[in-house]
Amino acid sequence: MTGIASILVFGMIAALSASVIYGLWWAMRKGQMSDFAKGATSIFDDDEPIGQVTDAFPDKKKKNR
Amino acid sequence: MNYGPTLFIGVFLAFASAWLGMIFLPAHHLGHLKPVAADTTSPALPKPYSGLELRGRKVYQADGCVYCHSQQIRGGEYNADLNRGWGPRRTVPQDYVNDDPVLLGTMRTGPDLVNIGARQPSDTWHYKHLYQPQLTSPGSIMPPHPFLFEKRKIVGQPSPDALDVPGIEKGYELVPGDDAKALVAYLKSLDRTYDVTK
Amino acid sequence: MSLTAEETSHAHDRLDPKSFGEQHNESELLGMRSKIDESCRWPCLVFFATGTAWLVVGSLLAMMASIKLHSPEFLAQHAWLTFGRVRPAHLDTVVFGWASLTGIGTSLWLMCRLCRTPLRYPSMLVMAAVIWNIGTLAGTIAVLAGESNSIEYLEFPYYATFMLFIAFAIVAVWAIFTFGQRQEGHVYVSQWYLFGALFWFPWLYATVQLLEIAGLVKGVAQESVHWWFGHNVLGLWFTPIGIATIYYLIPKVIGRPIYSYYLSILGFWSLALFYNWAGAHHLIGGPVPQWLVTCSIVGSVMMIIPVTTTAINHHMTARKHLELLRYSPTLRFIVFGAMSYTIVSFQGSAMSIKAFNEPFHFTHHTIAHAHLGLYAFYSMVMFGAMYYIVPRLTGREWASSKLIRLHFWMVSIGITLYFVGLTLGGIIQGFELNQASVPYNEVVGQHGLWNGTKLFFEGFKEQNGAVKFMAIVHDSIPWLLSRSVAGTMMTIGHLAFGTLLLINLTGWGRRRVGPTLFRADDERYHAAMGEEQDWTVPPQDEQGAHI
Repeated sequence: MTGIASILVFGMIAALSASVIYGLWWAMRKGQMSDFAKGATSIFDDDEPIGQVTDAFPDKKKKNR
Repeated sequence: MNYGPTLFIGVFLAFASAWLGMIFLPAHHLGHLKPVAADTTSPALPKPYSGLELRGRKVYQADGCVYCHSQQIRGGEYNADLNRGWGPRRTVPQDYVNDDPVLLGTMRTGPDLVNIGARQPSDTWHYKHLYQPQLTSPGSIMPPHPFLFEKRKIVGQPSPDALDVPGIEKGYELVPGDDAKALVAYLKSLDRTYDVTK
Repeated sequence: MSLTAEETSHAHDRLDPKSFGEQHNESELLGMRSKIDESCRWPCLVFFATGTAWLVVGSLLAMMASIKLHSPEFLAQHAWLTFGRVRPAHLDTVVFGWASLTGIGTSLWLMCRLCRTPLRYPSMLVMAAVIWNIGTLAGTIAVLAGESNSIEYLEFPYYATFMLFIAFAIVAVWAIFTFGQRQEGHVYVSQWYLFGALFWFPWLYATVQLLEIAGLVKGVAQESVHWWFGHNVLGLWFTPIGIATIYYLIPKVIGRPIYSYYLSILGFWSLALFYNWAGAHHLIGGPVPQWLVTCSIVGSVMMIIPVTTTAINHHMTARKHLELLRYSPTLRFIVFGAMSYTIVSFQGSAMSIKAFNEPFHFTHHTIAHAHLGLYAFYSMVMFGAMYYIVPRLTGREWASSKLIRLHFWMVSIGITLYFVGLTLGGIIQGFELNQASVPYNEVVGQHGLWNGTKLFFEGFKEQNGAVKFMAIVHDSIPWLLSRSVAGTMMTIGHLAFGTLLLINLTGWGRRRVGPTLFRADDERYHAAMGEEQDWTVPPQDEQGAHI
């Protein structure tokens, strides 16, 4: 493998790994890892609350509405 | 959280190591291999491909032979390939130094081909097999490749390349096209039966 | 409470103890949700529609390839339809056409929903879709024309891959930008997976193109790079998109949060760590350094950790609500996909162990495994996602329950038949390629199914066999035929889905009125949910618009 290629690949390894590490560091810093229950319920709200089913087959009986 | 630094080092090593291990190191170790001569008077093996053979290799790529045929012989504890008579030894990185790209293959719908040049040196067999596999191997599921051949009217003397296959009317002959000739030249060059001392 | 401009712009960083949902009232949330869905409309629908068109093309190419394997004379006259070109054309159209386009469409919508922010710069994304489609089309035509380099997954010529990379880059940049605009402080697990896919994968794609195609790596080391990349297509592109979708849609459909959010985060990070090493399991026994192969086997087996955490999570989240499988098309497809993910991953870990690898390497068993992953897991999840997302983008309900059911049953029975048939065929082929002494069909023909099978495996244990190659080919044919039958069923399912999508996009479907239910007066449904609410009155927002 030529010299330039080595630098290129090595550089990309380092940069990509660094971004992975940064992601993990960022997550810990911003408290993403502190309250897991909150994380799980964050996709719900009063509009689509916990307990409400949000998908079904198209309603056959409501054809004419 | 005090696990932080340890965790980061661990993550970094795990992530970066895959790149080092799967890309950088193999390329570094194996990228400098060259053909090797057994002694001062023998040619370096494997021989470089001739222009015709390289062209044939391109046909091999274009027509997707690799999707049914492998070009590697396993060895060590996997002795089935050797038992089958596909070669005298397992293949080693050296065998592929002239290959760009390397076409190890992942399927054996058809037999392994890395030593097909040694197993089957007959041009005529290869031409017939490519034209209509049933002629040489009844029951084969290999697709026929009639488009590599040319059926033409005989003008003057019949061509020495003409193939003796059924279904050609009187006054016509079937000859291999340039791609067929190149492909067969490539297939015959697939011979890695030489000794490797290491 | 008024905030300074600076405080507002970093509001999401302060990770308010109240989630976004807790800070706003119901009609505000409804309005925002509709706005987000509407903003996603054009880009997502372009990705979905073109992806589905490629599914139909890919299915036809698949059928051609499958039939050619047991009837080699089929369409064999012309170079551009020879098996060696049709087969990679199928792979590239379903991978880069169907799977990637629908994956991106789903990812865009997921990112916007999870960030709780509308999709900005839709024309940029539509342009990315157009570029991607042109690249895939150019690449596919090139393969059929004989320009393929026959490196699996990387067959396209440089001009096509360059277009794909540009489109990848546009989507990656958009993803980072959108993340910066997010209104929701919590980064949901799906977003981690999506970053893995949208951000890290293009990086890998560029790397492999440089190393492999630009010829910077020579010799068998190429194959190490090749399969490192090939496996990352699965592990860092398709798997994360599929898992992200499952983690969002199962809770959303059943209305319950994930069982253990901690497990899901653990699952993501362990996947990111181990998957990168797995690739060389495609090269076991091959002319590559032993340490490389060993590391890949270790990485492949370690994948049991993230897969188990994911499987536990999905199962525990959904297990009390499985009766909903009768009422929700999305849930059916997604649960099928989630279960298939677990199976295919455990199978993959097993296949990398030498005892399994020796007989099954190079056989149809591998193809069955590939389809279990890319179809039974990933494609089924994509179907489920589109069934959920499309009506929310177009405002129109799916036109026909019957067609949805036809689609589901055709493809689920089809892929099951595909997997079972080709796995059995691959096992027989593999044993015959290795140590078996007698051909399977011959032995079963003489001694019956049960005794014949026993004799066959006894021959294998003798370790001295060498069934003639032509007998191996002959024995594969019934299984290859079963694959054509399975493929026909799957293609019918795809046509059903394509029809449904076309009807929905062109506006023939009913207008959506409220959360659609199977039957508003179905007692069993309400009993199952323990609900008291009256679902016959459709919710509307303040302006009287339908949801």
